[in-house]
Amino acid sequence: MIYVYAIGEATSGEGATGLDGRPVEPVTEGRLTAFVTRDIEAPSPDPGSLLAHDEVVMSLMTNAALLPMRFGTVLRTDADVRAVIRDRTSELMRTLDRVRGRVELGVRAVWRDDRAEPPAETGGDFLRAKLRRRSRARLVADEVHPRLARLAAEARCSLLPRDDTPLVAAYLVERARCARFEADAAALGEQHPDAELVVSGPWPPYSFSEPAHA
Amino acid sequence: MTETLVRQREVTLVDLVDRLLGGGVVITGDITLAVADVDLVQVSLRALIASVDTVAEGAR
Repeated sequence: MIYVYAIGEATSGEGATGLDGRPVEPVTEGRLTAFVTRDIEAPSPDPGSLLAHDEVVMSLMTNAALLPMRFGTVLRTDADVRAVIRDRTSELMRTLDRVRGRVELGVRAVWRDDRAEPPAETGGDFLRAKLRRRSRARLVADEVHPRLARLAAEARCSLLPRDDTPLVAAYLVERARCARFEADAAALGEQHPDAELVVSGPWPPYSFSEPAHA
Repeated sequence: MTETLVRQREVTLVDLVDRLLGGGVVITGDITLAVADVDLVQVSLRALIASVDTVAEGAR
């Protein structure tokens, strides 16, 4: 199997090391290059492998634009890799244009008050608690997301994806603006009484590599 | 001159999983053998994430 880490504009791709300590190699088709490890079995998504994949993509992210693959993409042959690139070249080129010179910064809100709620005794209690949690999350999102989105080329967010997480957001930010973004996020985080903000990144543009669904 | 990305902060498992299993370019079709049942794996991995877990130091 051929494991694919990323696709981007051809770069020098100096010998990065990938999964299982195997080399990362380029497969070029037209204007795009996929970065792969050949002769490898499909990895299971354990934390070490996820981290290894991310580290490969990070090491390949230089000034040329690059899109990370979702973890676990394996193809059978080089011809298959080239076919994927050929079939999607225009769309990939458009996406690469959108991310060029930019990185992803993540912002995840967590409740300051972490007390477990007493278990709901009735269906009504359950629903009321759920609605309260959702309202609180919406307040956090309204305070945080529009302000940070203004500093980004693109932004995505998800409200209360888990009960303990009011907001998960991703921002596509010009490299030169990252320090400013992080400072603003830190300031916003301190201001909010109900939640604190966990900033992560810079990341390759995982959240901006596929078209957003409406 | 190439300018690689440097990440100063630690990577948390929940942020890594969200991106690696929920993001990135997705290839579908007969010629692809993506890791099976990624969505199910994502759900069960999330169940293991009780709190913020650090996977690795970020500095390179």
